[in-house]
Amino acid sequence: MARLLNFFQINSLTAKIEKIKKGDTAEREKMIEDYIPFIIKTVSDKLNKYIESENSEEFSVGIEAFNEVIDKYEASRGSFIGFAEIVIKNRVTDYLRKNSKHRKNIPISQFEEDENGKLQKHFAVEDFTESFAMKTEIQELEDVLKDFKITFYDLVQEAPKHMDTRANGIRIAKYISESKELKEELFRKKSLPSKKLINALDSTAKILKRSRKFIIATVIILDRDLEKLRNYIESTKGGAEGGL
Amino acid sequence: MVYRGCILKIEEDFAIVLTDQGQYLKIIKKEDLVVGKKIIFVKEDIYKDRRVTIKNIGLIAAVFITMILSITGIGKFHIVEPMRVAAVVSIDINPSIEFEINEKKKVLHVGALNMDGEELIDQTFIGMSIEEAVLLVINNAKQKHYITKEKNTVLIATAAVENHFKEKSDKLQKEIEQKMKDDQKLKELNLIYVQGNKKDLKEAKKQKISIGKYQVYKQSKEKEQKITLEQVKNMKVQEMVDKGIGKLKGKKIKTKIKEKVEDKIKKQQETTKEEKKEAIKQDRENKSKNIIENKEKKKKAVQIKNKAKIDEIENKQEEKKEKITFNQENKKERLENKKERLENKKDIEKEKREIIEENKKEQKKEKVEMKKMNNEENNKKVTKKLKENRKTEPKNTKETRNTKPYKENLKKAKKD
Repeated sequence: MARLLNFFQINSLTAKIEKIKKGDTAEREKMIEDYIPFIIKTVSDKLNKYIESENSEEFSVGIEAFNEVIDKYEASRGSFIGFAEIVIKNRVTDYLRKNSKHRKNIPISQFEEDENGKLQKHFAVEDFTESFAMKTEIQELEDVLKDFKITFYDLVQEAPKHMDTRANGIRIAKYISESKELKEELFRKKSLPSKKLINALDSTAKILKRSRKFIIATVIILDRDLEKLRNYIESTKGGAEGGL
Repeated sequence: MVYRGCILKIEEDFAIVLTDQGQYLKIIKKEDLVVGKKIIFVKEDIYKDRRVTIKNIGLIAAVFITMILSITGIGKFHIVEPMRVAAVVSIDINPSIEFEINEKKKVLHVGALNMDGEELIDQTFIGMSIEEAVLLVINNAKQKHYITKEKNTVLIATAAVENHFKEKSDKLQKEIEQKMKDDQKLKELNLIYVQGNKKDLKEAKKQKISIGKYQVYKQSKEKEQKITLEQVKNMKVQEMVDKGIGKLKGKKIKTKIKEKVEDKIKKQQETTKEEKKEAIKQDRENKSKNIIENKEKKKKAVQIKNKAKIDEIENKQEEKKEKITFNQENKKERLENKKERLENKKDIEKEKREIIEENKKEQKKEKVEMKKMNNEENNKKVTKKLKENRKTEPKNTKETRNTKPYKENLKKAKKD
């Protein structure tokens, strides 16, 4: 049965590719989107480095390579995934080689004068300052959490796994951070004002107990002037669902 | 699924990330990780905990212990059913069957040693206790008419493979017997038990014969009955009993305990009576034997004495005769000797006389001659003496002066 299903899948895959080859761009885009996690994984495996954003060069190289794979793939070449992996990795190595050559060829004197280089340097500095700010904010968060005897490790272990409960936690945290009274009580007692929260938000003691550390951490992020982190959370999906 | 996250902390084995979903996750470490960096990662990058919890330690320990136990065979704890063969039990009716059992007397393996045996067994025996298995085999044999009223002998043999099982095998035998007795259907079964050792077991396996039959063969060999192994192999147990091969003697089992007790008492009484009778008989026999023997001895003694006397008398007479004859002979000899001696004496005397006479004659002649010679010499001597006396008188005076004659002698020698 599994073999049969597999057969159908392959069939549908080859059919899809056929369709794309004939010029169905919408289908092509959809397919690339489907395979983005795969592309990210192969590229980052090859680089042994995490991709920093969707705009990074490595990632775009990966996507281009995948695009090429769709055009070149034929059923006789073995499995699609295997073929795609080889092609993407090859393209990434090509890119790396080119890049390293390029870097080596620039003398320092030229680099100073090069406008492009200057720009890059500028960007790099900005990037550095930004990341530095982020770093200090994270450091501060860690320190404050220490007062509550919470570590990041605890958060990994105890933070709610489900999106809904997390959203609920964020909602509670937001409520606390907006109320001065509750906030002060939290920082003074180093524990959640459970009763008041239960009354006000009609949540249960169970939820509060379970996601206590997560809520506290979120409150700290929202309350303190951890601007970058706050922005980060607010811009994210979880934040949006939490009502930020 | 694609995760986007901000690195919060970098640990030794992993990094902690706050995702855009508000999740805190651990991810595997890769190059160029910096706190505060925003990254994109996929599900495969999430770090899987390989923490050693107490539960895990327990599991690992359990695995280790079971491994050690199974390897070293410290089976005293019996957590797992021991799989090692501790003893072999064989049953022979005509079908020969062999059970390999472990220390707990559970059947590990069943094997038939001939065609009939295969009819009685199947794999359901495995895991059964040996007593039940034996019972089942016998019941099966009964159903298939291997055991009838006439043919009711079952040979059961045990052989310990492991040394410490030897002590148990006696117990096992009793237990099997008990089980047979408890069963109502198995009346009048003639059970025979034999015990073998490891060596016998090996040999029996080599010959593809049951350990029980091998033991019978061995016993028959000791009794010097001329039977080959092949014959024993093909013989039915009943036949062996009937022919009295080896030390086979049937034990009859009766079912009811009362009967058993009565039987035992009766047997005991009988045996005691028999013993007494036998003892008395033996005594009588002994006595009569003794008497007869004594009489015979006396007779013999008398006879011997008589004989001896007759012999002595005869001997004496003979001796006397011999002595007489001997004496007579001696006398004759002596007489002869005397005669000879006398003759010899006469001869010697004659000779002596002759010699003496001759000697006298010669002596006379010699004396005469000597006298003549002496006379002549005497005469000469006298004359010489006279002459010398005349000459030597002056010389003697000279000689008294010592040196002069010495010088003169020297002068004379020089002149010569």
